[in-house]
Amino acid sequence: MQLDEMGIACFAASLDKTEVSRAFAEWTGVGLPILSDEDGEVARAYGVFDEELGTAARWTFFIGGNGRILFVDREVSPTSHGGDVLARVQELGMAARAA
Amino acid sequence: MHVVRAEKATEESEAGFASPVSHGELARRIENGDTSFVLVNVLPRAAFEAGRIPGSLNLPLIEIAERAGEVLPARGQETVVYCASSACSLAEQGVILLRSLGYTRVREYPGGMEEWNERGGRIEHAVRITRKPAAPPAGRLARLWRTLARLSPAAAFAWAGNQSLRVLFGIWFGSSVFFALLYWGLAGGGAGLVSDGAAVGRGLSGLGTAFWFSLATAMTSSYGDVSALGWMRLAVLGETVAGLLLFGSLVSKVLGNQQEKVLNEVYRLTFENRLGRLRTNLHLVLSELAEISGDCSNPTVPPRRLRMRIEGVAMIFAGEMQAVRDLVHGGSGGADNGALESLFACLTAGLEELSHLLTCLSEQPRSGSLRRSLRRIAQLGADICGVCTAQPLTEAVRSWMDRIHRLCHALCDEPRLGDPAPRFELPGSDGRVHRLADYLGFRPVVLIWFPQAFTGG
Repeated sequence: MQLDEMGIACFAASLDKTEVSRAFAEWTGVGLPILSDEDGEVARAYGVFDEELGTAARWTFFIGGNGRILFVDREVSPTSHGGDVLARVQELGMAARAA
Repeated sequence: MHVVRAEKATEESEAGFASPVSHGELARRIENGDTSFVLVNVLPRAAFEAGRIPGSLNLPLIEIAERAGEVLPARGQETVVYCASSACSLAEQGVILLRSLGYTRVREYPGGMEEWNERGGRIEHAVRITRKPAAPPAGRLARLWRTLARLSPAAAFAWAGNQSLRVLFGIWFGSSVFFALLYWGLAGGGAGLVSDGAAVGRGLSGLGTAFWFSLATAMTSSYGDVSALGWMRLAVLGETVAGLLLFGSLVSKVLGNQQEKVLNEVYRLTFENRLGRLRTNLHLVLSELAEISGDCSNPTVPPRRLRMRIEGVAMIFAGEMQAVRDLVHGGSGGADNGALESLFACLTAGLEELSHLLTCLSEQPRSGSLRRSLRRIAQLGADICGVCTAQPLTEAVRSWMDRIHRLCHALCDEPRLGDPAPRFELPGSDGRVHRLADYLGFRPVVLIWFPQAFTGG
């Protein structure tokens, strides 16, 4: 993953069980760890928990090296998200920060 | 899993660039034409346009994350951030945000517009977003040339337009007295005034004729009863040009003052009209809120129906909030403080009722539509800030605004830009446990939430 080379830690996260996440990671061959927030507590803290559906909203958080939220992308497209994240990381200057 | 809010993330900045900028330092550096730093006003655009420290750029707090790269391309350049006053927290938040975006030399001017104004600093009003490059140093000749090049009729009219009516009249009258004395005192040797075919003499009646001629010329209305001879014709030409400029400006000033009065009246009426409509709408929303509130404790009302009504009213409320925000930032300078106070009191009552309704809904899930409305209200409320506004408002109005600001903030429970990211400690598909705390201080993190595995996301 390019982000890793830029010194940025990247995670996917959902409310799925750990086993499901592991299977999904294997199946897709995606290069980033998928975190499992089974009880949804972290999702609630991030405001992404949709109580109606019991799932997380498709939002991406960009967190600076100082732990503060730099940007929240609420219009994530599942198909082009890889490129979108890269573009946003560059726009926010996160790579320059990490280097 | 344990979720702990980061109490206070450590701020990084190069040594010396954490200290605030004093009024003295800022004034001196602006005075010296120091271009080594950028001055950033983080107030909303309307407040920025109403008045700012000369040379400032505008980057409203809510736009920092999106537009910082475009407005402030050089991350290493010294950047001074300010807002309305020392009580306004926007500048402090701006500094934190810019530092997290990689700007290393960000400092705050805590006094803000209020201190700058109180200490007699110049305020800039016209819209200007880009910074002019400093003029290159030049010799005396080049400077003289530049000054001369600026002396155009347009510049003269612009100068006259900036003078007060009294000053303009004084200059106009003074110059016509000067020319009258010139025509009268320097007559002789083939130059002078001629009236009815005879030269105007040096006596008292001659002085009267010279004044009559000079005033008529300064009013650019020559009657032809008196004319000039010799080199004095040149002086008459000069007076005609000066009269054209001064008398013309004088007339346009008188008309302009009248026009301004009418315009102000129109603005005031429009504002009151909008205020009145807004108040009516808010009353309707309030009564709807009160009605739903009654249903809230009624067990016979189906929860789904209740939820839909709350969603609907929240959506309408967000629309009204937008109107209030526009009204507040659309120049309420001439607004009656009493009218604003009653509007804000109404809005506060609505917000309190809405947050009460949300607690009655707490057993139920918040839908996407409700979340969107609440987010919108919180965003708009962030712009309604009593301590931040530069407008002449009473303490009571300001405190209502701040109350609205807080209530809006509390409605939406999502983390905002610049907030510390909620900490996490979660098992990953790679078999390891990942903690946000492991990266704090040196590595940025991207966290991509998705709904469910094997669902195309």
